This record gives sequence, structure tokens and C-alpha cells, in this order.
Amino acid sequence: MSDRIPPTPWPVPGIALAAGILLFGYVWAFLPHGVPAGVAWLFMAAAIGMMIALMALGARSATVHRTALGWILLGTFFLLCGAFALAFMLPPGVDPVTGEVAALWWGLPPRAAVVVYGAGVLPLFIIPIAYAWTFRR
Amino acid sequence: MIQGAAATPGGGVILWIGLAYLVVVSVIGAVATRRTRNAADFFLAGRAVGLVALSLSIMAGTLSGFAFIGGPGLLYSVGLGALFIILPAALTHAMSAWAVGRRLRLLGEIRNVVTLPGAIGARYRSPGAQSLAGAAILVAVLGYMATNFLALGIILDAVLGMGVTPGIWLGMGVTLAYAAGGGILAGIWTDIFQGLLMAVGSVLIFGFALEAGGGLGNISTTILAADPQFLEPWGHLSPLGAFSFYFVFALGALGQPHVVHKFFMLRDPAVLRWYPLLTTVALMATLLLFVGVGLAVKALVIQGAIPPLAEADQATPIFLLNFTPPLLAALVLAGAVAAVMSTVNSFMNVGAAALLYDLPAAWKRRSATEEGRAHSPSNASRGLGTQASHDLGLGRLYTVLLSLAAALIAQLSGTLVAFLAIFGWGLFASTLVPALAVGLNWEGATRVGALASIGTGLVVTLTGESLGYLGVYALPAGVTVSGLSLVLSFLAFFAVSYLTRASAASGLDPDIRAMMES
Repeated sequence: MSDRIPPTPWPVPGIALAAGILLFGYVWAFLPHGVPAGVAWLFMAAAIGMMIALMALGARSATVHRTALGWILLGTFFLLCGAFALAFMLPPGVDPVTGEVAALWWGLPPRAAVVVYGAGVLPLFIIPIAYAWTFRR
Repeated sequence: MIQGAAATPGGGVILWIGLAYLVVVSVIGAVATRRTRNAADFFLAGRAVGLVALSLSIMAGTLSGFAFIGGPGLLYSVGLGALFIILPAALTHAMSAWAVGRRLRLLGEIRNVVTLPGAIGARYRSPGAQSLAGAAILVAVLGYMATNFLALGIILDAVLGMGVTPGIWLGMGVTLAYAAGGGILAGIWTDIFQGLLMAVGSVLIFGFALEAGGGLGNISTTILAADPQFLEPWGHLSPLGAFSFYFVFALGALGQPHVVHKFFMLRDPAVLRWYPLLTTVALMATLLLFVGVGLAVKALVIQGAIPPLAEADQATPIFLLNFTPPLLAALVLAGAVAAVMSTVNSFMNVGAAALLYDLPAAWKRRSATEEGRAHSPSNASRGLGTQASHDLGLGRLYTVLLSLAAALIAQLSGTLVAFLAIFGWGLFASTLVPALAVGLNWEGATRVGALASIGTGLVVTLTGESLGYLGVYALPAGVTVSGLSLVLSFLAFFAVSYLTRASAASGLDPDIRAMMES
């Protein structure tokens, strides 16, 4: 049996880095002024990054079309991070000053719609199908 | 308000549907009991589960009563932030198939592993890690079972007006009747029936919810006029609180033993190809009730169509009894019972397996390999000595004992039940996810790293939740013990594996290495 130190695939440090960022987010919450939006979004990006890295780690073997799968996972990471970034940037459903109600997107206020449809529903049409497409029997 | 629904107009239908449901489940249990001849049938459904059964069973086991009762209530209370619990649903099953599904199926084949702690023991050649993980699972399983028995008691009391305590024991008795006899085989069969019932019922209820509120646009407009924060992306939660939900429920899904151990039961790993798509579609269809009822009830309360809820968990029963036909209400209430029972059944089986195979591993001082070979249901089913009937008998006995203990806990102390339920998900996640999901895919993970991770998850979760329960401290908004313990468990796993990396290669058996590279 070899005593060599096994190689470390790139998703492993990615997961460790994400865990460090998540801890940073939690520690920030203990500080007196609460968690700013930027730190909350970074926390979210780390959680998404950890999921994507775990998928990439598991998909290193027993898959075909690996390059394409890598791009799909990367695209999903940006899709999810983008949806949550939009949730921070879009105007609220009701303007706090004028009281004007924003136009609904498929029945929901814009910020809620990008989260529910963009981060919740859209990945259903990407990741499970990518899994089946790249599955190696 | 929801006491004795059977006594309301249409209550006769509810009563008869409920009784018919219990009869169907009992018949399935009786047939499964006759087919359960050895421990392989009892714990692994004979390793003969196909795609549809796996998907529906995992979907039914994942949801429990929370998706039908607690989820809509939480959405009603805190707004859209509650959806962060289910937002990762589109990703979690593909992630679990990639990270653990195929590996566990192979491990079950080459080592005859039965449980997730058994998989950890085999991966790290460590009976100690197996026992530690088994102990963590047992604590959480008891809490989950007690919570679900209490939920059964509440639902049965709501429908039949029989009182919560008799409801607890009736619900426990019916579940135990098929679980102790037919084991997970009965669980899988009833899950197929229950999963279909849950999915179809939820889609129909979603339609009724939209109709009652005048469409999604009208529901949103109504809520925005009265409580605009409710429809902000994180509702009345802080962004960190909502994102913390997302993190814990996304990653934690990889460590839920009642769900993940079903990969051991697959007949053919090739069916995993379509597992994420089928399971995710079924899951999201079933979650429509969560979203639809939570939003519609909020709008209906604002409109004055129904009075404000005394308790948020009344959202679903009140909506069903007032806005849907009695037949559909009865089917969905049966579906809620079904969801609870299918989850409890899985927990009974996981708990019994932990008692039988995992807890004794350390003090028997045998290697995981020897343990797997000696106690393997598969080998037992092939007629190796008298182990088959011995394990089957003990499995049934442990199932009964665990159920009695959990029902007693549910009956004696409501606050204790709530306390036990709080840390169940987090304990599973923090003790199992790093060692399994990363460890099965990375040769650099070490035995000491796995022990550190499991120990960190166990200590941080139990200490943190106990201190919080006793009122010693309160965490800041957005921080949860389950999230914190999962993060610390990951970091302990990586840090200790790095420090002990020289032992990584020598800690891997050749067949385990081949499994990881396949």
C-alpha cells in the first residue's frame, strides 16, 4: 500500500473555502451592527458554491461530456448568484416613499419573482437533465 | 377550530376516507410482512428497488408532515423567507446522486454495508467512527420519531376528535404494525401509494388555493397592500436567516439517513440516471401545497374571508375544510398522515439498523469489513448460518422498542419533543455530510478527520441546542445552531484531514479506493 499523499481535486479546496466564508458570515452576525447586504450575499454565494463544488467533486468519475458539464455547473452557479444579486438590486414590491406597487412578474413582485422562478424553478430544467445527459452507465 | 373535523359537514367523508386509507396501509403491511423473510428484506427491501419506487419513496420520506402542515404555517407566519427551505429542491437530488448515491450503491455491493454509519466505518476503516455516527443518528431518530408521533396525534385528534394522546398511540400502532412486520419493504410499498397520494393531492390543492385567492396576481396584490414585507424575497426574516435556511437544507439533505440509505436498496445503479429528474419533479409538485396554501391563507385572512389563525399550523386544515370539496380535503388530510407515517417508518428502520449494526461496532472491536461480512443482510439472505433470522428478529424487536420509547416521549413532554425535533436535521447534517459526501469522493480525507468532523457536529449541536433550550443564551438573528455546527464540522474535517494527510493513503482499503475511482 502506498504512503503517497493523495492528490486534492479542485472542488475540495473550493468546499473548504466556502465553509470558511460561511463561518465568516455567521461570525459577522455576532457583531453589534448586524450583517450588511454584501456579507449576506457573500454567504449565499458560498452556500451555492459549496453545492456546485460538491456536485463537481462527485461528477469527476462516472460521467461523460465532462467539459460541457463543467460549463453547465459554472453557469448554474452564476444563474443562482445572479438571481439573488437581482433580489438585492431590484426595487421593492411597494415603494416605501410613494407607496406605488411595482408591476408583477408572473404574479409576484419582481424581487420575489427572480428568487422563486430564477433560483427555485429554473434549475429544475438544467441540473437534473444535465445529470441524465452526462450519466455514464 | 379544527377539533373533530369528522363532526363537520362532510366530516363523514373524511372519516371514511381516513378509515379506507388505514385499511389500504394495513393490507400493504400484511402482504409485505409475508414477503419479509430475512434481514435483507427488512432493512434493504431485498435490494430490489427500482426507479419509480426509489423516487417516490425518497420524495415521501423527505417531506414528512412539515410540507403539509408546518410549511404552509411557516410561510403564513414569516412570508417568502420560508421558501428558502425548499428553494434548493431543484438541486439537492442531483447533488446527492452525484456525491453519494452511486458510491453508496457500490459500497453496499462490495461490502454489504447496510447503514450510513456502516459506510463511514468501511470508508475510513474505523468501527469507532461507525459507532459515533450511529449514536448521533439514534439520538436524532428518537427525536424525529417523537415529533412525528405527536404530529400524528394532533392530526388524528383534528379529524376524529379523539384527543391527542390516543391519537399518538393509534398513529404509532398503525405505523408500527406494518413497519415491525414488513420493515422497509412495507415502507417502500406504502411510500409508493402515499407518494402518489401526496403529489396528486398537492397539485389539486394548489389549484383550489389560487382559485380561492382570485389568482396569484390577486393574492400578491392583496398581501402587498397590507403587509408588503411578507412578499419581499426573505419575508420577515433577515437575509442571513433566509440564506442560512438555504444552506442548511441544501447541504443537510446529503446526510438525512432515512432518505440517503435508500440508495443501498437499488436493484440496478443504472436507474440512477433518471432519479434526480423524476424525484425533483415529484417533489416540486408536492411542494405546491406548501406555497399555494401559505400564500392563499394569508390573502384570505387579509380579505376577511377567514379569521386570523390562532396558530400558524392551522393554515392547511382550515383551508381544506373551508375551501375544498370534502373528498379532496379527506384525501389530503390522509396525505398528511401518509407523509408523517412514511417518514416515521423510515426512521424506525434506520434506528433499528443503528442499534443492530452500528452501535455495537466499536466495542466488538472488529473492523468495518468484518462487521459488514458478519452482519450483512445480503450474506444473511444467502443463508450464512443463523444470522438471517437472528438479525430479522432483533430488527423487529428494536423497531418495537424504539417506537414505544418515542411515543412515550411524545406523550410525556411537549417541550422536550420540540427540543428533540429542533436539532434532528442539524445533527444528521453536521455528523454525516462532510465524512460521507466529501469523504466518499476524496482520497485525502482521513479517519481522524472524519472522527473530528462527527465529534464536532455532535458536541456543537447538542451543546448549542441545549444551552439555547435552557435559555442560557440566544443566538443573533440569522444564526442557527444547525448551520453553525455544519460549517464547523466541515472545517474540522478539512483541517484535521490536512494535518493527518500522511495517513490518508494507508487508511484506504483497495476495494474502497477502486469504488472511489469508478
